[in-house]
Amino acid sequence: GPANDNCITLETSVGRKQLSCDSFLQSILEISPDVSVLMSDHVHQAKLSKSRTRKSVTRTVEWARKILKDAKEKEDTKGTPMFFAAVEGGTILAQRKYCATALSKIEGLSGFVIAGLSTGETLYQRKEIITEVVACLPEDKPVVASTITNPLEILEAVSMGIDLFESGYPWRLTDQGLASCFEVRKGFDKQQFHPQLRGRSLSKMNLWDPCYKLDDKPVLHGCKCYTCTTHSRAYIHHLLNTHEMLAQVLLQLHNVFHFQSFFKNIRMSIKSNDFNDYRKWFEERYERVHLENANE
Amino acid sequence: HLGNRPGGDIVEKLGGIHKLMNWGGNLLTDSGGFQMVSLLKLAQITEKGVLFQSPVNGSSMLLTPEKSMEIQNQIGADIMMALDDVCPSTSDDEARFIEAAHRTLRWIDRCVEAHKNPQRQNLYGIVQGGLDAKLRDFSLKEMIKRDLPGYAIGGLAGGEDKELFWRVVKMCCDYLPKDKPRYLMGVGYTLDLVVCSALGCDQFDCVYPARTARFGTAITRQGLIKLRKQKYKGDKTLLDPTTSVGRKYTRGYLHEIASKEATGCQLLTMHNIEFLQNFMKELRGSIRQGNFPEFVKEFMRKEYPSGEYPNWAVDALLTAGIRLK
Repeated sequence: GPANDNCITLETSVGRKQLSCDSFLQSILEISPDVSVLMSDHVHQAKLSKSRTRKSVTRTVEWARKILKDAKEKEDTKGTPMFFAAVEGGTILAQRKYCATALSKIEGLSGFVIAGLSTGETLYQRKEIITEVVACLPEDKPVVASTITNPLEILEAVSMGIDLFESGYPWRLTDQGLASCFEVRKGFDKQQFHPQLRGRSLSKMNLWDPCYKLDDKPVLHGCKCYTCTTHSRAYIHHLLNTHEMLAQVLLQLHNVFHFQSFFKNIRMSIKSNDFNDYRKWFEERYERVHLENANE
Repeated sequence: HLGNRPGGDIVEKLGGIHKLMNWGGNLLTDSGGFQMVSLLKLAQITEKGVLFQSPVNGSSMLLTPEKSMEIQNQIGADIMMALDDVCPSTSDDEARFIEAAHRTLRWIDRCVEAHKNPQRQNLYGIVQGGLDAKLRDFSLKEMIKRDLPGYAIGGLAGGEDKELFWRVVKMCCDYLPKDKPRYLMGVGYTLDLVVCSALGCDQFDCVYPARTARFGTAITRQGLIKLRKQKYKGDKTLLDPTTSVGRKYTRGYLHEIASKEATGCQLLTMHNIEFLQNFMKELRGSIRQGNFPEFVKEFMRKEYPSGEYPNWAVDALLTAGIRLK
């Protein structure tokens, strides 16, 4: 909903609610999460007017200062959560840089979120935004990129300095009956491809496909998640057909696990100093696996 | 209906239902005939079998005793149910009752004939007859003649008067062989489980625990907890110390998610099923230890703290030698 200089408006399951800095801080202290992203004047679209963007940045910085100041005064023995500030500014680089710089000067922040990605900006714009914003932020604090989901884009963002991602990717796959199966480590995941799928992308498999009707193999060979160590593709296919919730439960277990193993491998490659090699290998294998299989 | 989706042949090709589900415990398949009662509009019953119209795509399927056996053989469950002609106990069409009781017997013979796997799969016959003593008597005598691995008491648990219900259950239990399991279909609530166990039933099935969970109700020894009620808002007490879900979640939390979130349905379902399994385990234990009457009395005291026991339960338990004060 619309925001003003003091409040944002949220649509909730019990109607429209207005949130001010005070009510925001009070709610956060009551809920007591480990990390809280600060309330910002966020408009969820890439194409915003200059003046609206400027206002959004001004409010966001002002509110961040106010909330942190109030939080410091309220500090109790139980401890306040860590606060991450949201860097706004849409696709206007100057505004993004201003916002990032201003926020990085506020005392008491533990990290930053680059808000408003995947709202309609081009991939080139996104790259610019990330690069410029990261350059303005302190090196010793984590940076979160909002809504970057595709594994290739994740690797690109990591190379630009992003540390954390929030993503609905696993659920979006699950919701469509898909299981992710892209390779995450060299030579480890030896997929058992179905001959009928030759030539088609195998970063994910569609368990609705009738070719799985009699397939008693696990979703992904070698995957250690509950689903792959307990159930078969045929069972999940059957559950999808009969509209059983267990289908989504099993798929989600796998998709989250698989996604996390991808990140585990990213971390390992950073630690052993060959992230760039890992990225190069990944890009060559991703979505290209079917070509190799076609020659079998 | 596994016979429809994925199809009996598919289940068989995948190694049977245990393998498909990766479940090592015992499984039971129904004949597919229950839909006669629950989806009567879509069923046409003849001597040959039941003609169903699939609610999924409108296609018709003729379910004969032979077809039911074939599908259940393919599925491969440990216990199979014979296809019976079911007339709901709340019906008042006497002619229909008589027809159903007789046809069920002709069908049991066709089932036995068609059953390809008697060494590994146990075919239960279902005793019918509604609430009519004569018909029940007839059905019992005839069914026992077939010397089956187990017997089900069918046609009850459809909302009929409890006074009539327990008398029919008792009659069946008195007649059925003492060394074969007695399976009372569609029961039920904890009170019914206790009373019918006292009357001689061994095996039960019911949608109740899972269904009531989805509506936000938890079954506990203190009675039913309807978690959607406002009084549970902010309630910091744990749900129930006797189950794994009950020990982990507060009533206040469950109040927020009960019947609203999928997780709420799942957690309460897990609780209710674990609760009932613990309950029956205790019941069995009391039989083995020889203090089943004490178990029953203790249960009734907790369930009805005011002491106002339902009359039918008092009468039924009396015939089992348990006198409630």
